[in-house]
Amino acid sequence: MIDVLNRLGIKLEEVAIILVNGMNVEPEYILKDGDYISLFPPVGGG
Amino acid sequence: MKGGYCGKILRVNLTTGEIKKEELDLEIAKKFIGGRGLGSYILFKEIAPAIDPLSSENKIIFATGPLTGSSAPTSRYMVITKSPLTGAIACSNSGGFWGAELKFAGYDLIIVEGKAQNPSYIYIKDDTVEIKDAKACWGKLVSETTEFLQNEVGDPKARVLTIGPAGEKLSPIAAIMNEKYRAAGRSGVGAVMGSKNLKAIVVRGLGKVKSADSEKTKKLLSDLIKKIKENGVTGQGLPKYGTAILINIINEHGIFPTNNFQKAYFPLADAISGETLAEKYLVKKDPCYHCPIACGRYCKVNDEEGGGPEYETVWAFGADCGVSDLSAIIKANNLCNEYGLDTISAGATIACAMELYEKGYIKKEELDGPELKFGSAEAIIEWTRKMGAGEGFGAKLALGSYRLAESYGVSELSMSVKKQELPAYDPRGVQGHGLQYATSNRGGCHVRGYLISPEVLGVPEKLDRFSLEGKAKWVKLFQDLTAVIDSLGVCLFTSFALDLNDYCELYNCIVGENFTPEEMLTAGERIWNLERLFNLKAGISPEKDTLPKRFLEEPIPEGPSKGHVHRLKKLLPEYYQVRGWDEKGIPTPEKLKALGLKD
Ligand code: SF4
Repeated sequence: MIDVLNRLGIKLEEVAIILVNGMNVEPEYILKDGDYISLFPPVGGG
Repeated sequence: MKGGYCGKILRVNLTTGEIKKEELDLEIAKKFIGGRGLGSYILFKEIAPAIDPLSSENKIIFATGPLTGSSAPTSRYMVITKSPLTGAIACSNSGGFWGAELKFAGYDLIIVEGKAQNPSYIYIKDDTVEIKDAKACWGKLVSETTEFLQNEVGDPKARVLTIGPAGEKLSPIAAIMNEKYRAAGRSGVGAVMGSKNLKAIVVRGLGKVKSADSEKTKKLLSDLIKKIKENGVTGQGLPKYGTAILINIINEHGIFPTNNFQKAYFPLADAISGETLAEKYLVKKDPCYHCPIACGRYCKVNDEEGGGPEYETVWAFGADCGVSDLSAIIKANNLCNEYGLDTISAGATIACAMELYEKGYIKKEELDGPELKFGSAEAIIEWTRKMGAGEGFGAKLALGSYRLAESYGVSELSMSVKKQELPAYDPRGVQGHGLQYATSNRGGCHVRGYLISPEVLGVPEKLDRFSLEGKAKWVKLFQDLTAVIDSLGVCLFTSFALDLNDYCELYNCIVGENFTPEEMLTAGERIWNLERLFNLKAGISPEKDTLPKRFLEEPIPEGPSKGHVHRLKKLLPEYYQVRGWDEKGIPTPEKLKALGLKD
């Protein structure tokens, strides 16, 4: 996952939520074929 | 008297026309902090909880907190009354400027009693308080009423709190609006004003809210503002996109209720997201008084403009009704503001009606308007208008989803707790948040303890959203802390950046007290238990601490949270235990004694 962020030019500190197929993962997660990634900055509301 | 509190209560009896100014009992005020806590204490003391909420025996309290209108960041006021929607204690919270203005006029809270013979409004200008005739604006929409009353009192700076036609017609989902677009939205507080023939309260104050130690306060404030500005959520996310930024996030977690909670993933979410809103319709930000966060939005569609919409509103009229047309959602939001309807309950009631229509309970012949089909932009606009105006089948919708579904014999199709519509997070995919829905003292609600924060957003730390471990404790902590924040009169959104210690220090500096953070949190727990006692006496038994059957029995059918149900049965006993209540959910005498709620 860190490689992907690097390749996209996104700094790890800018990312608050990393989802793979809707589930939280750590930045160390190794991606598999067909994984669906969502990255979100720190946000809140309600 | 040091700082924060004004030290004065205004009591207006609409039956007799008597207006009294009473001294605030500071000991009691500090015990319950102010706002929600103090208002709940007064309501509990002064009315019998079992009365009819729309009778003249009910009272409605407009309460500020000690930090409202002070130099603290953000400023809120609360409306406390017995709710006609839930029958429970209601406390609806609103921002804008009205609360601060009431403090400038010199009052901590207003207690309104009785019932006026004719449509009336209350006009407060510092020491001068009058009950005036409101016949000329009865029936008018919110923005028109606001301008009319500012004109009538001859002061464009006067702050106007008012109900719209929905409140006049006693809809149990009617809101109270201030500065046109800010709402004390939930639990039908607008109908209580309507039942008293009270159209509006207009306030103008020229005073100031003092700080006990202004040097210390100044220094503390610069630290706290820095914390708010540097925090990713309050410094960037909320200011840039408002609350609607949550849409994609909640959807990607598979907990974005769609078609009246039949599904939890909305494929068209991006079309109604905060990003799309900012790109296409946003005109400007519209912050509340003294707010460094400024999450408020102001949007324009064609030549129609207005405040909002918020995340919950976009969801209610959007995904929950299967609608992906953002301009229609903005229009429905504007209609809610104008007619004075709670956007969550209004949208969710239309969603419920759509499911009732889909399943054949509501027949086409009954409808004097567009077909109630999921996905229909026309339906959300026209039915919102008809609900607001109490017109035809709209009058039935204006009763809220529970009474609507019940009239067809299927109350389980109302996605509500204690008859109040649930907001925009499917509890099956956030177990702690679901427990909080079931146990909230004002019924279905997300802001009594926003567990989405740790379970989804990772603030203050990330919790596994499907796990039950420790959730009962977290729910209690969030509920008690939220009671503190509300009662202080600051915005809950500050809590993304500030913690209990910050609030406690702020209170101590401004009021001139020496509370410890533990004492502060105990005050929150005291407030929670007091509200619980009110509800028990009002006849709301602990069996009502539950969720609609759908969440307990039907697994989420698709998307990232697929296969999950809510495991309330496991969580609830633990929650009662953590609360120090007996296994039936009744606060024990020991607990009440420890909290100073019983001698
Ligand atoms: S964060 Fe938003 S709702 Fe809260 S006070 Fe500021 S503008 Fe108002």
